[in-house]
Amino acid sequence: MAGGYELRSVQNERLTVSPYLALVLIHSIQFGLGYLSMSIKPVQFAGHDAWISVLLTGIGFHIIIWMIYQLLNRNRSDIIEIHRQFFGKWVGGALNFLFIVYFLINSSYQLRLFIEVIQVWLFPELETWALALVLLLLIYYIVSSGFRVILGICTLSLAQHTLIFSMLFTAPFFHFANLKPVLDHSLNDLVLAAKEMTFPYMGVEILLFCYTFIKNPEKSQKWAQIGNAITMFFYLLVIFFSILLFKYEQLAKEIWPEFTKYKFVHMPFIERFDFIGATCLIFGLFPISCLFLWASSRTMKITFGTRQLTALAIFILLVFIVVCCIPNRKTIESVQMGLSKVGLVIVYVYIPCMYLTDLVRWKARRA
Amino acid sequence: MSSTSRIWGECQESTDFVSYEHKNNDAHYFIGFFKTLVDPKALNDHILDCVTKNPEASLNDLYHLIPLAEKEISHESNHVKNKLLQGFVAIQQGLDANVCLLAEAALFKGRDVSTPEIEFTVEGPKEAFVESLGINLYLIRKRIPYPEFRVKELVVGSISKSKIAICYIEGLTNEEYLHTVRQRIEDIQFDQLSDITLLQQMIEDNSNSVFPQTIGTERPDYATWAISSGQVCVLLDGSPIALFAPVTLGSFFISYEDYYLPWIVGSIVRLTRMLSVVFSIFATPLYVAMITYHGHGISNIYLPTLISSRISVPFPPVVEVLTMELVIELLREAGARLPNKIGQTIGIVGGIVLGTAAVEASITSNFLLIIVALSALASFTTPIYRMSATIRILRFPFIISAQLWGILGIAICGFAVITHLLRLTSLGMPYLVPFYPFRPSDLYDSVIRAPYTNFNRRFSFFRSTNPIRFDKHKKARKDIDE
Repeated sequence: MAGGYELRSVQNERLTVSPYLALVLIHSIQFGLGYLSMSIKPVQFAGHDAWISVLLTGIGFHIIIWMIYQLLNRNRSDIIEIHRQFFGKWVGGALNFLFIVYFLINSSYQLRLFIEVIQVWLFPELETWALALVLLLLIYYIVSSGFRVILGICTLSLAQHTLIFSMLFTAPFFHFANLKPVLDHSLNDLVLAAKEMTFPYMGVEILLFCYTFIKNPEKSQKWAQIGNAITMFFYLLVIFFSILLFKYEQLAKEIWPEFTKYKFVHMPFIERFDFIGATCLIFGLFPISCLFLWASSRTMKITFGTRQLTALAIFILLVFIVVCCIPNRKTIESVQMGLSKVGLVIVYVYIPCMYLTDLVRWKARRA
Repeated sequence: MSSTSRIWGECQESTDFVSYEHKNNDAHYFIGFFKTLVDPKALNDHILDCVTKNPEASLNDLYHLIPLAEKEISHESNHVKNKLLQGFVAIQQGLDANVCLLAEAALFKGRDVSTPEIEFTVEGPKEAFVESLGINLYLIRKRIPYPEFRVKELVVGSISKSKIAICYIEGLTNEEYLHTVRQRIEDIQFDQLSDITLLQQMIEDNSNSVFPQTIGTERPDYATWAISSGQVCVLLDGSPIALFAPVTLGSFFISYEDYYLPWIVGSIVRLTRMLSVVFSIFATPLYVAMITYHGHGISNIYLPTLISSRISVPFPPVVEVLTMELVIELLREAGARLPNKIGQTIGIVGGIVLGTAAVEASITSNFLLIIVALSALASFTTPIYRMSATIRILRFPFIISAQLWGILGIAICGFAVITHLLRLTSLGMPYLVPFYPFRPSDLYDSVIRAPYTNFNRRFSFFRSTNPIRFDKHKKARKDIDE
């Protein structure tokens, strides 16, 4: 896309981040809390071949990221502008609003899930609102510092991968026979499992919103793809560890197999590892909720002209109320089901549709 | 018209102002000066001698005859007054004349250059800055005999009229940083600027932060290193510290001795220092968290030792820890306020007697005593005093949050601190470079100090206008027996 085009909504150079941070952006927003329970459902459909569906979904997301970049590079702007340009002020505004709602519900879900994990594994008597309040105040502090600081927090969150070394302790319990025979599930099973895998990969839609905050955004595609590949790699590890350690009848009974795995970990001076694992989930929580709240408040600012700080404060309050209103496991699960469906629509319907619309417009203008 | 005579009257209100009429044939001069500010030798040998020997000379003649370099003829009464207060001698013909000859005879009294006390190193030069701006500039300039080295003087403070010197190298230091420093110093509204630490707090980007955003050093070798790296150095008359900016968080944990040691040794020493900072901040909070909430996480091998040392302590861990931390702070403060020798005694008495007694009285467990003493010791390894104070303070929010939510509280508090660090800037430069934003090419002098062959480029984040320190020649690869 070389040429004399300027970005339509240029950001001040001081606010933009280097292209390589697209890797951090994509990876940290995908790799959140979803991996905790990720391995249960795909394994129910595809059994020990679930790792193939992890690959399938990963490749699907590579294509989605490519589509997003095609769309944005051609328009040289972010989706908030594109919506208004394609659909006019009202329909475009409505679409933006839908995204705001989606982001808010998603960050509420992540926050509530984290609090639930803490309540189950660390402090059973902890009040939901107390932890939610502290976390949201911190999130307000992070988001109000701007995009660069949020990406700094995302970079820091990469530190959580050191936990993967704890899986070395589980190695003596691996049952490699669990993997065989390779590929004895039908394509239909694999696709069903891949569909279940979509939710953990979600988050790439954030690119649509922070495209203009990346310096030379066209060059960042390579990094975004690498970020997705890294996510795929870690999900493969998670799935492999699950298949190697559990029979899938066992797996079906688990809620968070990841924590059960920590029970295998014994270090010379640390008797139990699960409380460290539960605390480390905070690394996964902050990037997601901060980026989603940042994106929604920014969309609010551009679409409706409010101050971003005001919008952020209101959204934080809304998230706080929603988090307090989600009482138990059942509700959390149903929220996840809903979000998962919305995610499927966004990834497999909305983004390809936008891509095709744009392609047609582009061709028409050329002709 | 009578403006100069008003000055004389005003100055005579002070008893140390001397003025008299010097009659010599026709010409009679009025000579005035502050005797406390004037060097009697220069006054007698050069000025008075010259005035007596040339009775016919006019003021203009005298200007050329006086064998001093710094002299001028002034009409402005305010200027004359300021110069009188800087140790100049005023000579005028007749009390009502409005022209005045000013000759410099300032008395210099001050400490001689001595060894550095705060940033002492075993290797390397043993010179430290003193309270005189002139000597400090000499110490810097003799290390940078470079024509592009510039010194700009400013005067700040409505009462103290403090002289401030901004030092940099033209064509090397980024203009933007220079302008920022200059602008911020010029904008200062203050009366008595007694030390450069006040200036530091006034020109920093975020004065509400506990983290310092400029480094003050008493070592001329460190200051010159900073100047030749592209940083801006500021000196204040009357302060034995030079400050330089912009700085990064990592540079606070660099002792200049790291550069004098072989690179592997220097790197290991630096790494130890950085680890000790982490230990110093997190040791006691982790103790509180583990004992209060995560006892099941401690291995069975260690549990008996821990329990037996704590079994007779009646307080919850957090009270125990806070008490011990406060005792340590108390000892440090008492030691700092007392003269050197008594301070040492207090340290020994406090450390050994109090510590042993506290354990025997079951106020604290000896396990905790070790942790607290070690983390206090670790916090003193930070070479920059302001940063080591910050690290000692930083522990307390962590201890409190550990008491609230255990290890989760520590994690939340850690995120808050890191967000704060991510927000901080020093003269607009991010505080956490080269780690975030990540600059791999600038890592040669961060956690480790690489060999000097890798120092060929200046740090990219200083945005130096001349980023190349020296040309790196590629060595030909050697083979066996060549």
